[in-house]
Amino acid sequence: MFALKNPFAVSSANRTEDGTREHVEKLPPYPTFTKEERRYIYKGIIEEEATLRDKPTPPIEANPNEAPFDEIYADGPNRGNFTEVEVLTAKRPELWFWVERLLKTNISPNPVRTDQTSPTGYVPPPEQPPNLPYFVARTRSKLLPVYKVVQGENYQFPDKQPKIKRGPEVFTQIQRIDGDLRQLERDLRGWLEQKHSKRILSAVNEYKGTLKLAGDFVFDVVRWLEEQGF
Amino acid sequence: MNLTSKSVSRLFSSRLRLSALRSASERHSSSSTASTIGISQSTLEESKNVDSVLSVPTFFKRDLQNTELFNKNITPPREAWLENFDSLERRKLNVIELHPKVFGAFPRPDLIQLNHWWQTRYGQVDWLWFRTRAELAGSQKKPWQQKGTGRARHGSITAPQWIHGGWSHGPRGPRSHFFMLPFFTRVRGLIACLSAKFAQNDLKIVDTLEKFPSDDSKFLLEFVDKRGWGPSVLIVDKNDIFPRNIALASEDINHINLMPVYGLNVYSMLKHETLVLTLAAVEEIESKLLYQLTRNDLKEVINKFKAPYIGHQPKVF
Repeated sequence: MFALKNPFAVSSANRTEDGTREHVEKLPPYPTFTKEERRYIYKGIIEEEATLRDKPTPPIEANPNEAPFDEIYADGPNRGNFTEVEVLTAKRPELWFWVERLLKTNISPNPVRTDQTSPTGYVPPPEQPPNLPYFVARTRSKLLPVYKVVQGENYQFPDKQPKIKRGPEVFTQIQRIDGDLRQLERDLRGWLEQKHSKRILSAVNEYKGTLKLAGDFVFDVVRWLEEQGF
Repeated sequence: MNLTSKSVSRLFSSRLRLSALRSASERHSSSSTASTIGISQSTLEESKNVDSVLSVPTFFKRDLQNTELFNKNITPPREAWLENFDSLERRKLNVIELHPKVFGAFPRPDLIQLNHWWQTRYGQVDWLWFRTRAELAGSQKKPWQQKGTGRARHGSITAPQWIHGGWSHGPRGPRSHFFMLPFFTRVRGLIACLSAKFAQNDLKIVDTLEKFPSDDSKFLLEFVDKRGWGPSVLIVDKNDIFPRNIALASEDINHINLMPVYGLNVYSMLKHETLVLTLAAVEEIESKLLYQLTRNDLKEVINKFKAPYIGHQPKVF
């Protein structure tokens, strides 16, 4: 069956190694005071605390009209305790340039176009926009706003992709378009279809100024836009 | 004629003062605009000769910032009249260019609605609070014995299945609806609202508010009526300390309000029919919004203007 615990067994917690009981000191009973005594103690403690707390700190005597504090005025005596400052920007404002180039900026500068090609293949934006009925503005970081959009991709759980896939999964999206979106769509799609010799689906969103192509053509689109002069 | 103080003041406000102020405004209209707007003296001399109302004014060229954001042939800079604010008579001082990415953007009504929804929503506090069975007054006694009565077994009349019993999982206490729209949704909402106002011809630009001639609210009403501005007007300046006359005149009128640039918001722009901007305010708004459109540190901005997480709040019903 199962063993029952002996309720009369003395627990070994209070026993020493010899088996004798450990001597436990009894605490004295809590002191009892009368009402007047309690009031007196309470009042006395409060008064004591108050005297400690509200003890005025000795004031620091700082007379600005006397030494050494009279140096703070512009017309006061100069004993060499303060560092001397010379304002140069009033005399030579061109020096501020050297400070400004060290400061952190939020806005990325407009890169200038040169004949040299960069090793990454980056093409800076043009000075004048191309003479076309549409315009694609650069992003904040002066890149072309062409993005690859993957539909139904679960970034949080990459293993849990949807089992049934409907329609195309990868798109190329162009943003920040002004002007004739349809013309841009016709030109770009014609070029892409000729290159890849297949039909390409596309959709225009005039509300947002975006163009979406079915398929991954990011590098093709970027190269085409650079050739157009954007 | 027995002139009381009231009649004198009325007469003064209606006729004498107006005529005096008109002449005064005509006198210093030439010199005043030059100091505030920064037009060269040669253009002023040209405009002085011809009739100020009907003539084509000289073109005031502003150097627009961030011209790489748009193509001039496709989205040209928007043009607006620069009007005077110193007399009843409307004079077109100039034509000024406005940035097409701020005042000529697509007026996205969805962004305007989102901003309006956020502004009306985030300050609300739901005070609805239902009592649980523990908080109800009444007997805690078992209503009848467990067995023998032939009735259903019950332990308390304040149980939630009882009529007039307590509520389980009801709305509890003050519940905040505070949240923040994403920062750039707010920026684009402002741009959309300004563009919509401009497209509807509800955006007026004046030179300064300094020389508004009267501190009489009746004069201001007449002024607004004669300009053809909507009954409700929102006047925006760069500084938050307004000139004495316009501040006093608009004090008693609830539908004519003053606002500094840093307080400009979508809700107020929708609330007022006409939006009046000073030239300084236009430049401030443009530079601030263009800075937001071109700045590069998005991650810092987005994290900075997020609402703090105050814990999970269960949905009520």
